[in-house]
Amino acid sequence: MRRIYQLLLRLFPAEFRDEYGSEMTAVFLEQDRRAAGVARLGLWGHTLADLSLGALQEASATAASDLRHAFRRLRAQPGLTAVAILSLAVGIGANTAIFSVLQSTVFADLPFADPKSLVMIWTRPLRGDGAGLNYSADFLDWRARARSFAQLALFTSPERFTLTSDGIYPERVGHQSVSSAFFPMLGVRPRLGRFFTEEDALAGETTALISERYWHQRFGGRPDIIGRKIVLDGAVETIIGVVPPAFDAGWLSKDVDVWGPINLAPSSDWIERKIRWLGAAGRLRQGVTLPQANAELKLIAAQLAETYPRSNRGWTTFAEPMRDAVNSQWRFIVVPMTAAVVFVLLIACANVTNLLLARAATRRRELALRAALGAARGRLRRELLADGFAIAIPGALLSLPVAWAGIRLFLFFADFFPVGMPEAGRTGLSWPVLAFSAAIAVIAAVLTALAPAWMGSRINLTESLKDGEHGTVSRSPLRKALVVGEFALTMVLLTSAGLMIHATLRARALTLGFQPDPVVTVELDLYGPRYARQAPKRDIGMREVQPTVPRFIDRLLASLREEPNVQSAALGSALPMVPTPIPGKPFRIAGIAPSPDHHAGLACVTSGYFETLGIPVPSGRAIGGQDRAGTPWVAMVNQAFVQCFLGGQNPIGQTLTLQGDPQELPRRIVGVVADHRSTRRFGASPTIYMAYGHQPALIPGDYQSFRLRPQLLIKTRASAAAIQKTVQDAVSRIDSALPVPSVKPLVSRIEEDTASQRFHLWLLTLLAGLALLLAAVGIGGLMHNVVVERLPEIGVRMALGADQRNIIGLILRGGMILAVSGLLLGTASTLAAQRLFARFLFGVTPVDPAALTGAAFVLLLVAALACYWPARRAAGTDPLNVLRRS
Amino acid sequence: MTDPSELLPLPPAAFHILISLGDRDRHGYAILQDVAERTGGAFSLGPATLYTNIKRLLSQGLIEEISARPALDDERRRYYRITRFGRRVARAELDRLESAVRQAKASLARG
Repeated sequence: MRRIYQLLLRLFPAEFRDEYGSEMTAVFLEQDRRAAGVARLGLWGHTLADLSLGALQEASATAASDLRHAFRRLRAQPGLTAVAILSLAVGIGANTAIFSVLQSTVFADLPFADPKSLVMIWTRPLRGDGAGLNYSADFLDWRARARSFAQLALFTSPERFTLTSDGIYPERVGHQSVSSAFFPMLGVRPRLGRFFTEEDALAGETTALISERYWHQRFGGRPDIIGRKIVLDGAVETIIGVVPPAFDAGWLSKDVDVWGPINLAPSSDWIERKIRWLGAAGRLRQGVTLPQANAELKLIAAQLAETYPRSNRGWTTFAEPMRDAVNSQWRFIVVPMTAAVVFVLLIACANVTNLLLARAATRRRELALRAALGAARGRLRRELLADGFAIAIPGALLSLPVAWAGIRLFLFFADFFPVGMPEAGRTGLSWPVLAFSAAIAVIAAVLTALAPAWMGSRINLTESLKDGEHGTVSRSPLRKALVVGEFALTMVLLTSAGLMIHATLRARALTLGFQPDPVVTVELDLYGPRYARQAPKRDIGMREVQPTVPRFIDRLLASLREEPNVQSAALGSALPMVPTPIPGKPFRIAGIAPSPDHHAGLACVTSGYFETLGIPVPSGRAIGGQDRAGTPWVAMVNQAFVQCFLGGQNPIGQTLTLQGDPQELPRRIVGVVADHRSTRRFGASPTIYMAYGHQPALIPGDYQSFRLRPQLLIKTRASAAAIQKTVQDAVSRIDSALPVPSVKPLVSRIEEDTASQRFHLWLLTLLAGLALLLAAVGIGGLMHNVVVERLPEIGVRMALGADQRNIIGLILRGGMILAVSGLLLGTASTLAAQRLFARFLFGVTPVDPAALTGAAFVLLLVAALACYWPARRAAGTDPLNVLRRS
Repeated sequence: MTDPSELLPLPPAAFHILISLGDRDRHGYAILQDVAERTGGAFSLGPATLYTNIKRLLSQGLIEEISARPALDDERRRYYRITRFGRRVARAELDRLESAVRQAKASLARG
């Protein structure tokens, strides 16, 4: 009994135990002696409750009193304390802000039932990575053979259809076809009506679902919507249900307002192995893990490759968590930021530790005396630990406004560049974020106070009493190591920021090979039934381009070129340095042996395209107005093409044929275009330019935007509003129903491409700057202590003839040795982690001497400045005064 | 601290300890027994509650530890005595409780 009770007494602080432990044990034993039978059981229950409550009370009272004393001690050095608290507030605040962003991006749960069991299924080449779309026929095989999935669903990428209905003007709406399992798999319930059944799917495209947003916008939220007819790209369909708004958040169906069914009957037109163009998702059966599901999918893919070698050999299938697929783009932004803020926190902690070590040093004699007089070492340790908490608690409180400002700043940058943050509204100071902040504060308090507490409790009495008033802790290797560590971390951050700054500067200085200014662009959308129809069912996924497309293009350009404020106008399928998702194609050149390497990028252009962009045509002629439908097909190639495939020989008059499409005709090469930069990271790639009039009528899904989303380019000095009106008028004279999006300068379209890189750059530079500031405070603080401790020595040196320059040099040298050590350590770590850099920082070369030199220069400059003030103070001392005092 | 009202209301355990020391000096276990007896077992203190409260009462100057003890008593026992200030605080707490009881009775009578 006694031993158990005494063991439980360990819950109490040592001083309380020493004072009252034996009494308490005696009282308990007395109680125990008098109790018998069941009463004894009751006594134990009562005692346990009594002990835990009492221990809690006592511990909190002791902690409160320790903290009170710690606060009082820190008030004696208000300047240093404020700097330490601010350092920590910045460190904790930055971490809290990034955690909040992480929570609403990378860790955000999808708005579906049991989101963890949802996966995306992708097809990819066996050799290579990436995640691609799937064959519809493969999907049927997975559904028949895979045991890992409770549900599997197939869907198309969102497309634009033209919708008409009573009282609604024809308008373009986002449309997506989905298999009947799609919504049930996601656990979504209809807001009104019902979702698709197998029967709906078998009946073909006769039924449709609309989004709640569209229901309210266009149908006034009327309940009699069910059964209403709409016309989608010419086909009459009946609305059978309304999809709830929670679904809007899902990126699966971004901007979709109308859904149609996919018919999965094996004889259906949908089922084929010609084009991988369908998305697939599934819900894992309960108890099935992702690796199990992946093993099964891989096995089925191998079986399919044997059965259908033509279409499936060399390809495999895999699943990934749906959340990762959705949030993957954020990982690349947030992960480097997380690393950066952790660095900032570590630097802040190192600063606070240094301050506490300095304080512990000034109290060495006091602590040693108290230890000698019988104070428990545990108590001294606790006091020093309380110092850490006394800084961490106000630091944590102050970190909340810092975090709030950090979140605002992040959202501002995300909006400014813009990087399209889906759940910006969910980023804020929620309860989990506050809990995280508190946890970080506790960790920071323990981290910062651990070393001082440990050192403080191991004070050697005789040595301490022999030492001077200040002790020698500032010369202790630990304090120096901390400053070196701070500089190493700062160097890593500075280098990463430097890498990105340098990459951006390099990109700015590129020779473009074209003149983006003063060209404005408008992306037209010709997906409507007037220009392209869904191909007959045997060619699912294909569209048939109507002869109206080249006619529209000709009339539009003719009309625009008559306008006085238009210097030149043209259309093209792509804009240089603006990414387009158009894949290239293999080709053959008559008279040259075919090769698998014969693969080039494609572009459709009209007359005036090169002139508008200021791209020279060094030989032959440019595609012109004469290259209309019905004339022999022609093509132009760029110089990179000539170098790459023709060994630099004159290509004019040669014939090339694009492969993979029976409707393709041979094209005679009529001209060569000068190279211009097509992407920011790469120079010119081999490209074939063609006329809009010289194209097959049927086009598969991945080439549709190539033909149906032409970029209108206008060289003009007119204002944006004026040119917008010019374009609007010209378009509506030809097709009044065609919407005209806003006109954008080509320069800003190019900038959009680099938004995410610049967003990164700004945030990283900001954090690197913060780290640098904290590191400067750290080294400044340490050197200040060094000066204070060495004042007598400095006094002697000055009395013996050292001048101010010598003293400044002495102190600066001491600081700079530390800064240079940190610099070397940081550089070594950067070089060691260069693979990580290449992975997470866009467009940078990991070993970049310019970035390393720049970072080193900034670091040393700041370190020198931070050491200069204490050095000046040292040099300004009056040797007589100092010597008299010591 | 000279104003007893600054310490009010007293925690119940502290109040019972002061009352128990009101008529004579006692050691810990005696206080425990006395409180149990006086309240008919309705309020029973455990050793931890007892000594955490004793520690606080000592630091507030409401009780003091005394060295005088009866002959033949166990030497390990520590005896406590209520101070003059302690009596004033206990009386103030009693007044507070009485007034609360009066008010409660009046309020019920009116209903």
